[in-house]
Amino acid sequence: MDQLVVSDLVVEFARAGHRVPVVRGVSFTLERGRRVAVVGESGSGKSVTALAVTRLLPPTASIRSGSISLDGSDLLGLPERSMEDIRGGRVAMVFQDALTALDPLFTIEQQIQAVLDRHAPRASRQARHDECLELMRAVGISDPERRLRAYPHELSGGMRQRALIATALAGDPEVLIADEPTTALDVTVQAQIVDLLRRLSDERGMAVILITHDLGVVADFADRVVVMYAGRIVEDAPADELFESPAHPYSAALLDSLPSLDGPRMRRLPSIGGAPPDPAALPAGCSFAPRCARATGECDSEPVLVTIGARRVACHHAGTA
Amino acid sequence: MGNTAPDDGLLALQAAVTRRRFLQRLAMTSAFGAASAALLANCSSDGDEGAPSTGAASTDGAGAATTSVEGSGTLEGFRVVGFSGGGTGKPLAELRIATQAPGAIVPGFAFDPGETVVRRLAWNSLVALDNEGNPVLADAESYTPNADLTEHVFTLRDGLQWSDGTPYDAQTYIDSLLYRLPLGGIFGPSWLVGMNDVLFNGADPSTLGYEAPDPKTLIFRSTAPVPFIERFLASNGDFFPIPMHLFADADSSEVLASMSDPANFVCNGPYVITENSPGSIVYERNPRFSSGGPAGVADRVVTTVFDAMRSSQSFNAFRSGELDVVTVGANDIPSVQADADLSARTTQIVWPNYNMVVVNHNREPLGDPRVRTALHLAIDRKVLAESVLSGSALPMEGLLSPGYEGYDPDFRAVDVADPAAEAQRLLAEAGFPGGEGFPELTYITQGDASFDLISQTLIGMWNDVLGITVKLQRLDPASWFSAVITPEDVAEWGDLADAPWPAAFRDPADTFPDLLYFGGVVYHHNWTMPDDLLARCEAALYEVDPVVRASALAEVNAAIMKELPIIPVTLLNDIQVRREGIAGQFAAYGSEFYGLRHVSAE
Amino acid sequence: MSANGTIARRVGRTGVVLLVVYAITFVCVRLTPGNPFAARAPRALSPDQQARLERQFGLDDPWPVQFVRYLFRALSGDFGVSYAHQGEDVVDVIVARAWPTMSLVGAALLVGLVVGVPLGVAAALRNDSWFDHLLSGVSTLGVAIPVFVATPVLVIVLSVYAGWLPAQGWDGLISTTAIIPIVVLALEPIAVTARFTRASMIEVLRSDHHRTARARGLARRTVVFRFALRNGLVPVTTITGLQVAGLLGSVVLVESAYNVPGLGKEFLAAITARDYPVVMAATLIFAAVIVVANLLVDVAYARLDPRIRSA
Repeated sequence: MDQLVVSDLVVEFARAGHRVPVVRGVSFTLERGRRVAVVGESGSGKSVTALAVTRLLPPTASIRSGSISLDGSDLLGLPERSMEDIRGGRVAMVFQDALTALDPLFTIEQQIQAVLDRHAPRASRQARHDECLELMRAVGISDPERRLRAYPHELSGGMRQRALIATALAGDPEVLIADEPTTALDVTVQAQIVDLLRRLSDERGMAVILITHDLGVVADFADRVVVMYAGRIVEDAPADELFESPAHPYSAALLDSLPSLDGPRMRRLPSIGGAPPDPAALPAGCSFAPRCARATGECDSEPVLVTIGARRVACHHAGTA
Repeated sequence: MGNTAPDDGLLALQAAVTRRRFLQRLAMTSAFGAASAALLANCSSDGDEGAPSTGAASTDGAGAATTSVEGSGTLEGFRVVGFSGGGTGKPLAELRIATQAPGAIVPGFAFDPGETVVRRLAWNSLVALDNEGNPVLADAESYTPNADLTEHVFTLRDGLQWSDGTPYDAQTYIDSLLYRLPLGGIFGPSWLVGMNDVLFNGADPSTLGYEAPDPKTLIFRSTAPVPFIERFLASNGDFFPIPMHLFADADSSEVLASMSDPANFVCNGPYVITENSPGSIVYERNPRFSSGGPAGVADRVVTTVFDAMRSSQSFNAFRSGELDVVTVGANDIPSVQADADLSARTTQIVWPNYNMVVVNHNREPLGDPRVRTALHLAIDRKVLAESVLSGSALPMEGLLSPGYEGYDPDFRAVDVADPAAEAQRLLAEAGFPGGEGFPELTYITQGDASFDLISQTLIGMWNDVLGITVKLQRLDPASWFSAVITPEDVAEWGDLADAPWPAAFRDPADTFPDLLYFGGVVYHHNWTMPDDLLARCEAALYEVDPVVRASALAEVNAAIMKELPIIPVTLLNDIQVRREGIAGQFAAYGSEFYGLRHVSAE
Repeated sequence: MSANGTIARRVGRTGVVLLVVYAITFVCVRLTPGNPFAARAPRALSPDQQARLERQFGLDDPWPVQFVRYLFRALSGDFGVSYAHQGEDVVDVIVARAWPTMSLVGAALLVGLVVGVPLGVAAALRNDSWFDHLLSGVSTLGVAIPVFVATPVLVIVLSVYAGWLPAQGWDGLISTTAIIPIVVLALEPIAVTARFTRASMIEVLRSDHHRTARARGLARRTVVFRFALRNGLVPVTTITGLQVAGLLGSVVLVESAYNVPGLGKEFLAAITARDYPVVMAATLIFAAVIVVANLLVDVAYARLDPRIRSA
């Protein structure tokens, strides 16, 4: 069942008097308890889409059109008060750099408690403390008693990220949006965090949207992968299908740039040539065309997102490869 | 006050020798009658208070030396009185006045406006000042001078006691002076037998002509006739008694510190201090007041400490109802004049508060009398006094001020029809036509606002009339003092400086010598009075016949002013306002002129 | 161990600072022309009298000797006897006047925080609104108006014409006499505090952790007052320490302008009178207050920010 439905979302940023579209008609759905990865280079609009869902866009950004609904109710039309109930309580977010995402001046316990107080008030001090301990164990932090009293800067990077996730779990959300939760971490810890998210999702029946630029962390995690480029979804496919045979050249390029697990470790990664387009000056037609090896005259017109089997893809060449 | 204190040993010695020689001669040649009181009474022949003059042996009613300046046309809007003059005598529950922080609350340890207020309220000497500012007997019961006024015998009252109940007598007076002598704060008087030797030659203080043959008798012996001894004693803190039973065997600092706590304060005046904080001193009646003289009209006097008298600060406090009487600074006078109610409760007090320009004769071309005269004539004193200083000053042309014998308001040092043209002519004659080639001069002034006003006006006038440039150098009072009064090089201290001179009490014997006779002890004009002029000056100062004295002083004044060793500018008056229901006034400074005990209900 | 070392270094540094201040003051005071006795006497002092007074107060010794003597006596709490207040111990002179000064500075600092912080927070929350612009205009005025102008203006308006408040003086902190000086003194702290609070709050409101807190559904009020404010106050604390120094400068002028019998007015009077011992002691007190204030700021800083504590 579709829990979260985003349709035709358009988000613009005000920049030097102009409105620059950074999310251009994004639609996707999230089924209850499922895990979706949203993948793309920075500037592809993936984080902005996530922020739009929780209506935490910076003041310079505005939602031009589209709708976002959670269990059938429209989030964009909700008053701020009701939105506060949804944030943290039903849809929680985890941001990328736990060092800055956690308040440096307060202990982990204070920060978890604030969320508990808000969404799941506990009567007694002891009960609240127990709940904190419970959450710490849930995110796999050893010696939780001591770590609760710690300040963010006193924890290691991985530990911090776990603590940040604990604060997100404190409201017992149905949907967890994790925006690049592993970026600042080393590879082993990255894997641990992704494992943790998967485990939490399974244990709690919690849907997870994992936003990342690194397709590598997605493989064992996501049910589906949504690939974004220049504010649009270029491909939305079941994870195994995507890894098997990416339909969009961009997806393919992302896959190619992954370090091979079999090959020599120091093999140089083939990166995608060129840079993502400036959203203020998008090329006419397919945004990816200038970097695309398979670009043809056809690509001068903007491809639409078409459904092909279980996946959706926006490429004139999809299905022809 | 004495006239001592030269600034180097040689000068001191010369001064002392000159002075002794002069006084000896005077003592030999003069014939004295019962002159003291008559002399003083005569001074007030034109006074409007009209106190009757009585015999010499009694000082009550020695005559008011008040000078009316009414009708001079310069002081419209003010009720003009003389030096003092009091209220109605009706009791007043409380009087709130402005004061400055006293350097000490015991006489003879400091000399400043704040100390003077303490002395006027809480301390008594042999003589005090009455309602009109004239000497009346206080601790003394009677007073007898000898025929030539060189020996003065005071008989003390019975039952004199300090506010703690301890009795005191004539010996306390002697001990009080001797105790303070080695502390360095005693400055004279030089006419007291032995005083110069004690001060400058380290002589034994027991040689002083100040004796107490018995507990009720005090004798002053002087090297010259001292017709003004009553005023001197009423004004000079050095001869006030202090509670020797506290000081005798103690360190003066510790006693002074202990006395600053009202619980330990001991005095002999009509008031005791009941509260003493850095911002305010409160006085209430002394239940053990055993002395004579005025006992004070207000039951309680609250003095608030200000940084400066005549400040906008104290005037604002008066306007917002926190003070009963206040002296107004030049800046605030226009707002008094604009207020009819306030103007009606205003008094202008004329007192010898000189403002002059001291000229360094050593610096060319200031040694040329034509240049000095040009500087003198270029000053429009009427404009300065009436416009710039809003009528709070009198134009001043000579060294005599109202109240001195021989003062003539119409006197002109150089009497010409067109002073400005004459000034220009003299400057041209001296070689600087239109100010051309005249060096830039430096004028050293104190930082005070009214001095600044005067200095800038003078500089402007000199520039306008003479075309010369004078640079203003503003110094704070202590720096000004060390530059002008105690310069390292007496000959080279600078060109011009402002020379304020609040005369300590009203006698030329005090003022003349300090200004001129010692040739630069006080202000370094580096001018030496010619011998013949010196002789005339000395003769005039100690002339006992009032009529002869007046004309002799006027002549000497005119003769000195021909040389213009120092340029007189204005007399700064006190403009005082009082709230409704208050009568009387007091001067802000000038030890003689505190009518504090006389401010009363209307 | 390292904490003790830090404290020891601190105390040592404080001592050096005070010593340097003391030495500089000593030299400056002595280089100023004029001497403490001449101007107070009714007549010019003779060299004899001058010498006697200088001997009495130990001013005839060479400077270094005097300085060392001053220093060692000061270390034992003996600041000597005031020249201008005959017989009074300098410590007594200072103590009798310290309370108005310290309470004015303390009150102005408190008012600065109590008024400035909410204004700054409000402006940050309404960033770029008319209120924000008004506040920034008014706070520029608050910093720009010198206290020796503000005081007479308030006195003329509130005392002389309206008659609501006294025109001068001091009846204690809890009295109408304290209002004008505190208001005048607090103008700058209010303005500066409001500006810094605004700037740092805007930064905090843009921070990741603020976004996290909001993403947890915490109400704006809770987020701002329970979390953001504390973050925003960290830089304000530093400024508050600096303001103590500024206030000690202003209080000297305000006390003179409002005739408050405090340390500041005495300090000016002592300079005018060349009352060396009082000038030295007052300078030391001022320096010590600044040092202590900065120490307190560091403590407050550490209390607010755990990162400083462990650093």
